[in-house]
Amino acid sequence: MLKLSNGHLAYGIGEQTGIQFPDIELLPGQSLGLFGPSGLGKSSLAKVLAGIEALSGGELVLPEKQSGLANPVQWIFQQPEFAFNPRLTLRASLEESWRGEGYQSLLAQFAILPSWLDRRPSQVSGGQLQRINILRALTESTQYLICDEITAHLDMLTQQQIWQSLGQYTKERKLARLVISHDEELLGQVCDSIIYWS
Amino acid sequence: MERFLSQKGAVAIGCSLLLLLLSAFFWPSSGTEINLLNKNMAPSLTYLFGTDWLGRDLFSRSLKALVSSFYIGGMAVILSCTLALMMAMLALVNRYFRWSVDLLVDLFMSLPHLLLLILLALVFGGDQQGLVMAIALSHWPRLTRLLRFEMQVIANTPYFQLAKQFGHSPLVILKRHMLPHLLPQWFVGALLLFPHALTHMAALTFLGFGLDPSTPSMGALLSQASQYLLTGMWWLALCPGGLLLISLLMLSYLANSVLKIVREGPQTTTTSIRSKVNLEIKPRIKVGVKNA
Amino acid sequence: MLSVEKLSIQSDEVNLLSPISFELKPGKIMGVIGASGSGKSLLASAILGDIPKGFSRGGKVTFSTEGLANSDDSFASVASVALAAQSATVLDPLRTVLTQLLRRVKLTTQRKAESTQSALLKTTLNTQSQYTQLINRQIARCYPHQLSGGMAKKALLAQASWQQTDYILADEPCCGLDSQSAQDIYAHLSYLAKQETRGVLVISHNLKQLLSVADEILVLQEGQLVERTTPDKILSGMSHPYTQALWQAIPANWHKEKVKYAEIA
Repeated sequence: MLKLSNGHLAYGIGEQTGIQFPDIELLPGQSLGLFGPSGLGKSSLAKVLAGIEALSGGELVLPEKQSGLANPVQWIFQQPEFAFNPRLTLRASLEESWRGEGYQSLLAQFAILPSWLDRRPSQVSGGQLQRINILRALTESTQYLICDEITAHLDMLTQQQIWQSLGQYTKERKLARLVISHDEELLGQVCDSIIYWS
Repeated sequence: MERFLSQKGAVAIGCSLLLLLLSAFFWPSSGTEINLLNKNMAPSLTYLFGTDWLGRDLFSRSLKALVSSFYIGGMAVILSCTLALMMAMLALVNRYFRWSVDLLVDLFMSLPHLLLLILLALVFGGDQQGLVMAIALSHWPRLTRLLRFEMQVIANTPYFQLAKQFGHSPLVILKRHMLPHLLPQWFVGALLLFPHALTHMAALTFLGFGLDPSTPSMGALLSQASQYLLTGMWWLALCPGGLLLISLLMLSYLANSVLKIVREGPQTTTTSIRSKVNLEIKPRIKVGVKNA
Repeated sequence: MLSVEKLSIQSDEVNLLSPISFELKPGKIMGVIGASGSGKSLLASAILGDIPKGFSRGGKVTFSTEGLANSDDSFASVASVALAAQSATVLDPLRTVLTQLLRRVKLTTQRKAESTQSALLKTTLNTQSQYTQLINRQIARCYPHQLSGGMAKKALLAQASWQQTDYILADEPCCGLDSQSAQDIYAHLSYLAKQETRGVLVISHNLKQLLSVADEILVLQEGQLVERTTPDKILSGMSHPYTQALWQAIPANWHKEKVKYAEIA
């Protein structure tokens, strides 16, 4: 279970300014939406949940990490062009999280051509890169996905395709996901319940 | 390494630089023999670079000076760059280390460069060793600061932050995502430090804290030559200077080709095989069309 | 009238934009839609005469105002078309939005009218008008790095609309914005067209918001014009399958059963 209650993140040393997070409880297999206008600190929330940033106050319950495996909570970044090391081929990036070639069987499901994997991030389009970015987060140890505006920068057709593949896959694997977006209609389509953050 | 060997130009330059240094090292004459009968001779076949005001063979002196300069400068630069990289890495550990590293950098940079050099040279007892230590210990802060900011930039990029969630150890993450980006900067820093180190060596020698002025070193050779330039003895400055310039150019060419390889980054072994097969199928993605 | 005749961009090997012809009348809003990579932004830059290196432009862009002689091609186009760019990087990071607006006004109007224009600008900021709905004093005082995504888009559009050109090209004016900001921007675009009778060309990949304001829609696919249609036709399903696919791709139109996978089993 992933649970955040009364979370607070302070910037800098002074405790005056900071972000007060909404309470979040994500059960296995659930799809929860988080709606809020831009500038509230939605990306900071994603980082906190993925264990990349530490809370300065409040309580966070995370699923147990196993050493040598990827974090069970995976954050998918909104702009895929910044989510990859520009020096590595996409194959090397995928193998970093998967620790092998276990992703091969999923390529077709996410409409990824094997030939894309030998390129570097700058050599594929945004939509292609985002599919690979998603695939990178879906490792065998993944249980929770934090989808941080993953289709906000893509066109509608690509958005639909990505959510179709991701929806089908999360259903098969019974993955839980927290979908962060400013698009209420999208959240209505892909989530069971929505948290409004303002 | 294989990719380096495949670049013919770099290999040729590297070999000739090595050959030059080796032949200079094993050159039979030490360039300290005084021959007052043949002083102030212009370059000729017997004396390739001419002779100086004491009749010493300038070619031998230049070669020996090149060796000692490369040795001392190289040692100092390697030491100082390693120190800089280690300090920058140390600053990543936690905030207390970061503060102490920053404090140390500020402290060293607040002291006048030459004063620091003299103090360090005195502490380490002059001579060759003292010179190396003095240069190494006084030149690291600038590079450390540069590397620190580079590291900060990378630490803030999403890809570096995302890499933490794939469950690899911090050292692996540093090696995969930080070092390849940092090493080119580090190389460039080292390269820029080299001529800097040479001039400071000459300055210390000039002030009498460095090497014995009779043993040839590039700095000493050039600074002494400047006094004789006005009397028309152009070869005293031009010949050793040209030799130094050519070797520095070769060094920078080498560094550049290494840089290029480092920039391209690691490649997985499977990649090369697969790219040969290269199946280019046009993506066919079905679009669900429904009649409204 | 802005008329585009057989406008195309190509090199020896590739066709980035196949010949496209259409005309935009003052007072009308024309939407351009298509997936990414379909050549929407290229169309805008081709109208402005700016094409990628190594490519050549074919066809003709002409502007005609009532009674005036036809002016031809790219030089004239710069004077009568304003572009609201896609990204806020075109804003000068060292100047406030207001200073940049004033600068635009100075560059595009005659010297004589300059003082009246800047006075006009200042009064419009003080009084209640359509323009202040788009951009208020708070935004005007900001430097570009202080702007949020929505504010930046508004500033970009303001910059384009303040130039008093006959035609405005808006490239993705509300990509990535929440619905309130998007509504503000579309309201301003329709004000520009209806009240100030300017021709507006809006490039977007979000069909839904576009349909409520646009008079006509151009659909592009991989550099080719699929069809030229109207919002009514799209809504009633009388359009090309590709257009229908774009319409179906809007989250509100997704088939519920088909997409809602993540139910707890």
